[in-house]
Amino acid sequence: MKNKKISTFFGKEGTQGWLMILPNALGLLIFYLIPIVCSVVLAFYKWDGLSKLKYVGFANFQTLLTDQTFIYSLRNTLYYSLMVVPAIIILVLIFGVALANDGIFGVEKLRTLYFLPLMTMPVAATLVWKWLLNRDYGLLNNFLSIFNIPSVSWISDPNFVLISVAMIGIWTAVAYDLIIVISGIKGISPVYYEAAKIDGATKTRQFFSITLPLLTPTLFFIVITQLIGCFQVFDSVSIILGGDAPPAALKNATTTVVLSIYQNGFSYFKMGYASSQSFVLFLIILIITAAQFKLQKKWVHYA
Amino acid sequence: MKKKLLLVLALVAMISTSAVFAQGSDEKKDSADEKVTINVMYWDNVQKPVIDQAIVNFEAANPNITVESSIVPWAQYWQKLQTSTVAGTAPDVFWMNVPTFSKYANNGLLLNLSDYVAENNVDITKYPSTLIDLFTKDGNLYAIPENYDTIAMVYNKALFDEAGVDYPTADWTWDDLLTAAKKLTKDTDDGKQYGYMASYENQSGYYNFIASNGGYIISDDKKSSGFDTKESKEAMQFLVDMIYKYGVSPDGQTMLEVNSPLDLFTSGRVAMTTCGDWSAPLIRDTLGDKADFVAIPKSPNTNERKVIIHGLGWTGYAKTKHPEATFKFIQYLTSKEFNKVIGESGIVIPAYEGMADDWVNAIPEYNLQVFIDAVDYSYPYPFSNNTSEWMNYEVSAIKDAFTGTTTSDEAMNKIAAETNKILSQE
Amino acid sequence: MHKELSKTRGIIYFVILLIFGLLVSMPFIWMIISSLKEISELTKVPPDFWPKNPNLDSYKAVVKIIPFAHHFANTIIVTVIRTVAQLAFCSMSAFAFAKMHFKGKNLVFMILLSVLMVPTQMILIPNYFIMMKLHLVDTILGVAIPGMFSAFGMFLLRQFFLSLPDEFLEAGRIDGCSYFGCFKKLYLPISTSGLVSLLIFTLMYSWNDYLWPLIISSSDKSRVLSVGIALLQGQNRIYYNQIMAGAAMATLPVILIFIALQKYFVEGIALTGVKG
Repeated sequence: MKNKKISTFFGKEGTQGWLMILPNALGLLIFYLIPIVCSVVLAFYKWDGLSKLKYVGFANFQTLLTDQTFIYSLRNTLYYSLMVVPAIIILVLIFGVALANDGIFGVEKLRTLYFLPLMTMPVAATLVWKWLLNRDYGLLNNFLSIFNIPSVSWISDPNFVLISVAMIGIWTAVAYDLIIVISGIKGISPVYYEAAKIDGATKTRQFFSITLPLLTPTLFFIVITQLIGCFQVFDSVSIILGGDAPPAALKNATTTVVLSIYQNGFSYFKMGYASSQSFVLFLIILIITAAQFKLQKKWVHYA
Repeated sequence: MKKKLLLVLALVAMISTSAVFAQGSDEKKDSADEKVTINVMYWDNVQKPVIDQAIVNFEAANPNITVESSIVPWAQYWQKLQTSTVAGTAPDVFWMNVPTFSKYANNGLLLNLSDYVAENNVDITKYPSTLIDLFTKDGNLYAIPENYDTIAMVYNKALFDEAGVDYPTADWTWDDLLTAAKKLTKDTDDGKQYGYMASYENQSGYYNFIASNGGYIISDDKKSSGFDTKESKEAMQFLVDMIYKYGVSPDGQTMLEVNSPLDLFTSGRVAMTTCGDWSAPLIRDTLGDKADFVAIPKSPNTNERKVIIHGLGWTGYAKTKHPEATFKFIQYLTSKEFNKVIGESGIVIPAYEGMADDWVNAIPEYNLQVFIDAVDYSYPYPFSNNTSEWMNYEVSAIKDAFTGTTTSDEAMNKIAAETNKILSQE
Repeated sequence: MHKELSKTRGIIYFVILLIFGLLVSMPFIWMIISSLKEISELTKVPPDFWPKNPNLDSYKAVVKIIPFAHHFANTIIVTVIRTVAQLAFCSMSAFAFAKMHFKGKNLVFMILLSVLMVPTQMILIPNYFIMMKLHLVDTILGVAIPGMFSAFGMFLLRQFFLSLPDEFLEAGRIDGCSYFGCFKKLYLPISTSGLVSLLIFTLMYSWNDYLWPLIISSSDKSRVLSVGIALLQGQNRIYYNQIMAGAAMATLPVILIFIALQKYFVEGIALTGVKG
């Protein structure tokens, strides 16, 4: 028994496997894992980033439970993720299938248009979105008025700001994920489609029986990484809210966890408290991700 | 297997955690002829030409000292400063502002300049005394002002001419302001024109009204908020009334929709507002000679006016390896001769007495002298150990009042309560 | 797939996709247009869509204010280092996780993946400290190194490898080649689409990476484009047209690379399925 264990850990396959993992793992360990552990340890201290550390046990976590801003930020982050992730999946499938189709005239040039979002520098992109979303003069409201939809205060109405941030998030993420979906679709062997055509399957049937199932590993990847990303949304929210101190109503409706972490850590000099928030976020993401991995058996088909 | 892995990770974590937070000791070594390099850090790209010039001049006069400069975008300046301080690689010379001063001074991170000032006969009376006080702790000076900022009222002459209203004068009170604003508010083809913009910004907006009315923002002993005093509330109510009672100012939501409330002024939708001296170049680039400046109106209740004075200071890192060189550079940057260079550049108001004329003349169409005169009726920028925590709350709550989500009174009370709570925890 | 679309159908789809494409790229278009305007047009309320006097002044100003070419070169070097490293390290580790079997694999995978679950802001200070100890502060290597390793890339390629058949590996092993050899000779050649995806991701991410490069560099020696452009924002004076111009110039080379890489999408993958 003991021999067997050792052989499967360090056996030929094991040694080679560990060696192949080593470079990435070592780098991740030094530059990411160790700093993360530091940050977790820090959650049990009070530290203003400049003077001595003071051990406070679980005090930071206790404060968290009653911190209204933090609770709002958790809620907002959840809403944001629930808006963004399904939207990404749907859009990326629709446009992915369309743009992977080489039969469409000029499709390569068209693809470039759809990839422009990820080539726009974030600082410029968010400024531009702010202009586009302006209540009185933004292009979005101008566009909606064509259909007689009344103007919306996208960036100053607490009911809508989170949706605006979600739009920006979806816009960027779809561009990134289109890349993997398109290459995923192109990676599906034409053999399957030829066989289906011979059997008389319609395009729709082909999509649901061939394309979709074979894309599930890719979709799984997108769901996991986008969920993790959504829970950490920061840049777009920060710029839309225009700095550290938006009106309270707006802030409560829109602030996200990482925004709260950043403010506490670097504006209010509460590094320990920020670390505790970071730890809670980490646990939440970990649980959701682990659950996803367990659930993947139900819907993801590997070759 | 899993246990072993976790054990190794835990060991590594413990070792590295203690390593990260242990701060190395720095020995002060300095000899007059040794070749020395010092680092300077600041945030405004706009001042780069000026500071580069300072470096050139200074290195020429001090051949054994080399200066390396580093600019950090404003939004991340404090984060970067904090990070490098923790790691022990803070710059030798850097910019400090009033809100953050306390934090760094109280943690012994700033170089005590008092002895150097005495040894080198630096005349600190040549700098605005309010600023010197703001940068002094326990009788020791920790930063020397580089520039100062004050506030004035700016108005759109073209709109005044069109409406046949006389330009604002230095005798105006809030009542005169309101009267004129009413005459200047009207509907136009592409939206509404407002007489005055009651900005929801603090330094360039409502702080000045509170101070003029005899109210205060935070007590001198830093223990209580002044927002629930009658005078402060009265001032704020006046501003909020301009939006909702008299309809002469755009509301908070309109201001949120633009990148900066000043945009409403520079695009000609608002006839008057208060602003800081730093906005003068932007106003010149947008409205040109159609605008001008005047002192802010007095409060009718006190017959006085007060504006916030703020300034940046050059400070040194307490644990710098080269305190002599550090002070020398600070001394040069804040010297009379270099302040002249700053003034000539027209970018900011130099702190050294009498050097501001060149700044005033940089835009001759404007009455920029009003900003210099404002020093005489200035009120120090409020701060405490953890300024940003209560100030952010305050700005947020005021925005709520300006968007009509709460009343002015409610906002002021909430701010006072929360500020007092935060101050008690300091 | 679907190469047999009728011509009219193809053109209809083209038009529809074009309309949506223009909507999607509107922010980008607005960015370019803004870079050609005067600052007064950008603070104007309401703004006009087209510039009154389109000019390249902002572009000239940007190049004068920041050493654009220098930042550009730095960005390229950092990006190349990170991309090459990630392609190598991530593909190797992804393959091991996907196709090989050894104890402890899944635990280590989850541990490495958990790296993604902590916000970057919390990792900055320890990383800065490490770089300081290694004397890499304000160096290009200092900027590049943390980005050479990626849990994201490892995850991406693992999913990709999982979708490739095991038969190649079995066949290769029977032929006596090592795991690494099989990986290199059999799987890498058919992995173009996955590798190109990772290449694009790493390229874009590295090009736009802001916070870490900002913290680690203090001079133009190691400064990259994203930080250089951010410097155009003073505390109180933000000349938006310059920021847009800077961003536009920074994006141009990326677009060109992108168009060049498009070919790899078109050529597709020589995956012939379980032909045997």
